[in-house]
Amino acid sequence: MTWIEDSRPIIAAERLSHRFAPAGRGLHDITLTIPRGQFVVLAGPNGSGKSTLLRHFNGLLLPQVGTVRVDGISVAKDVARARRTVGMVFQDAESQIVGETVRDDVAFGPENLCWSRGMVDAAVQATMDRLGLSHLADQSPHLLSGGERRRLAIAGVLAMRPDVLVLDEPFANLDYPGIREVLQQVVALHQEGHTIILAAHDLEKVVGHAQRLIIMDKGRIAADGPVANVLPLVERFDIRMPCQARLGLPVTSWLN
Amino acid sequence: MAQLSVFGYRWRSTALHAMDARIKLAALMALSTASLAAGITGMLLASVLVAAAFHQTGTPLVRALGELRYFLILLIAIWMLRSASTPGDPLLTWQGMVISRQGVFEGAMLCWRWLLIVFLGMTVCATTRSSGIRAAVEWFLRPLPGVQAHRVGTMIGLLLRFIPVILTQARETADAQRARAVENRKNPIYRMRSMGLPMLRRTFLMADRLAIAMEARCFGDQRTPHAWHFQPMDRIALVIVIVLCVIMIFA
Repeated sequence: MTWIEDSRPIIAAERLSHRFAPAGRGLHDITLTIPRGQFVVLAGPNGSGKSTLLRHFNGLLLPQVGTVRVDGISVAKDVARARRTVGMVFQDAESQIVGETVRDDVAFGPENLCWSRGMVDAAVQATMDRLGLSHLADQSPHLLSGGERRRLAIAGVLAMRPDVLVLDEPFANLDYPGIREVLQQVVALHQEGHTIILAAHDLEKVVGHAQRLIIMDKGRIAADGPVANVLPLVERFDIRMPCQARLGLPVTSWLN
Repeated sequence: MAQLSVFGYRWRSTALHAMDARIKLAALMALSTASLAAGITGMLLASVLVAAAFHQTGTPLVRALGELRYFLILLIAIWMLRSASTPGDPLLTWQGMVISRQGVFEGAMLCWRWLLIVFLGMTVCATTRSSGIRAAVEWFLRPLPGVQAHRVGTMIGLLLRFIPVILTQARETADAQRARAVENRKNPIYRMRSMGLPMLRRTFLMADRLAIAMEARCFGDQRTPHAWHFQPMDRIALVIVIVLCVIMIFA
């Protein structure tokens, strides 16, 4: 793999805490840095705080305690900049697609950034070409397959030219071809230099491409490090270990 | 299986699809208003125009009527009530109830107007992207003081986008309930409640997720303005609509 990585953190969280009343769930004292160009998988059981952490990266949630910096600037001080830099793809693709056609939806983000019409059109066309959606430009998103819809959700974010792509359970409810379609795009985006942060339950599909695995449990980081080091620990945190890892083999890609 | 409602936009290469959304929206408003004053000649002319426009959407008439079945039942009920409640020359008398010739005629005209407006609306929705409708609504509302044109336009655009999604969810919910023998329950209130509550819950949850996703994509009051392409064809269409409205009102 030929990923581009540099050591400057694109995302840095320091002593981040966020508590949701009344259950008290949330994040507790999270400190982590993510270097530019890294492919990070964030795993953990339901309610472990994965989505809450991801939402702090693009300012959908702001820290109650601590700070989150994107490219050196506090998210709380410049939310709009964080949202431009960190593009977020949600688990439920249907409810994040706004446009009545594929083209309209891809244009939604760039139009919100008040780019000129020429820039919007160029970004939309380039993104649709990049994700293989050009032939569906005038199609209703409602009629797309699961994989196409997830690619559209990625395109809608990618058209805003973010440096970081955050994907929350991108393989949920997808069939095998759909998973491969989305995985192919995510891997290609990483190879082009995007930082990828991907939250997943099922490590098998994606961990073969990741450089770092972070396990979250009860709102804290329970383990963090290179995939090979963290993988043996996952079953302690109710995460299923990939079959190949059980057999002591390296986890290979679903794309092979 | 996902499918589009007849009210949803479907792309086709026709003159009507290419037409400026402002003209289509203006035509919808003008023809709907003119139909209130139109007689048989005016309504016939307008119906021919609407039928030709509806043909361009590519929607089979049977499917459109199928989706409008409940509305058609309502229209028939209105026609019958109007026929029975308007005084005039008796056409039929039954158990003290008089169906008048004038009532039948007025009821028919009323239902004809409603049908014309609904088909006109379906034609506009099926041939105009929601972004075009949203921009046209904003364009018409912008001169009005105290109206947040941008927000009203966005709400209408989202409504059009999510009609097919909500209909699909309603079908899924109904299927799930049929699978658990809801049809054995004869109480309509129980059935409405068991259908309505999950539907409302799903719709509100989806609205919530949508709002978060829009926020994540930097949605705000300032956006790149819509690019209008006012062509000579749009001017011709505008003239035709104005002439037709004048004929409908005065003929």
